[in-house]
Amino acid sequence: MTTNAALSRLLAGRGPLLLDFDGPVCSIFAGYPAASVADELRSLLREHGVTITEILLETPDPLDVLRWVGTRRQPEITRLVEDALCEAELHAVRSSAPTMYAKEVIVAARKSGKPIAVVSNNSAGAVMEYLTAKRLAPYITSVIGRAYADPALMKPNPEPILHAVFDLGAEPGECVLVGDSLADITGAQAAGVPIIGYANREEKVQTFKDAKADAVITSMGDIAVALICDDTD
Amino acid sequence: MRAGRLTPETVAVRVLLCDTSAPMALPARAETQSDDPAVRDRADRITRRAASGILDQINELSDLGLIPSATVAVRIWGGSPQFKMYILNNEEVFFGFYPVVERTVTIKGVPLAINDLLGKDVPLFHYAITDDDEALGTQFVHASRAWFDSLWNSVARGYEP
Repeated sequence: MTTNAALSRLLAGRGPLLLDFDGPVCSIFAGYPAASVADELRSLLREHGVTITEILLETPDPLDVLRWVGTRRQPEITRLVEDALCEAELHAVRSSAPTMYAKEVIVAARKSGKPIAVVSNNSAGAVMEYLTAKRLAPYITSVIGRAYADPALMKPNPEPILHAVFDLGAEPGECVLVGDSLADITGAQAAGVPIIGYANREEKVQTFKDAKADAVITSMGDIAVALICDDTD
Repeated sequence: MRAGRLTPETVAVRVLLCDTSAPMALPARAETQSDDPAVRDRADRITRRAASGILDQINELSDLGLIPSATVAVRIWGGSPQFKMYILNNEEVFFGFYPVVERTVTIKGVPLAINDLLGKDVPLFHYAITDDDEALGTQFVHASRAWFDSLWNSVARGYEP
């Protein structure tokens, strides 16, 4: 584990900690693969006579399917996909895998006086289900999930990030977001919130550096270590 | 004693600690809410430090000739820490609960969320013997001593910090 000055600076004080969910907190689709969910959503679309464009045929990400549907101005179809995805996510959290050191980060952040919000492109219901099951819910002040059937409002749209900042009564500049995707980085930058890129795959390190993340880490443990003042080793 | 204000003939200290070599209910690993060797090792280091501190102080006072007769005995038993209790000369008791707090600590550089025991800064309740045998303080001091002796003389065993 590494600590660096930029990270310590970003995490100093009692400024709120905003966490993306899938990645920094857990792998939501660890036991129920995202690709299967994407397939189910495609089948659902076909059942309703929607012709799927070639570019969408291959994506393993169900959120891509939802995004695409959102651009088609068929609100009832968007709602259908949204409902199916919410249900799949609720199902998926039960077989999700906790991210190493996520609990350590959440407990340490709360102990050091930081309010915590989860800002996710997954549904708030699934996020809450997970946090409750893992006994983390009491530490989380606010959960901002995906806006219902309005995928244009997902990150990289800064709206959900600003929503969390507002919920915590904070200013964007005093918060920090931890995310594992470019959508988190560009969304945070648009919101004026400093961003820590969690590169859970090696190739993301350079991508996040190129995207000018304020700090890049490869383990959530780096954040936990930076947050701990305790030295009883 | 160091300043010469107290000049006891005898100091006898008995310290009863929880055994950190066997699985314990507390402290625990938060993720599993159960025993973890790494968490226990940390508790062991803290326990050892505390016990050595007491031993060193008494031995030093003895070496300096400030106490004619000094003994320290440390024993352990298979319980989990839940409170601290100081019994002084069978006359006074200070008692404090250890609330359980979830926090992240680093163990050998690795962060770990644990269900820890909050031992510092907890209120210590003071009980003292009075002339009144029926008084709460009198009864509490007697019962504390009886409790301590019952453990010390039954399941407790020797310990070298």
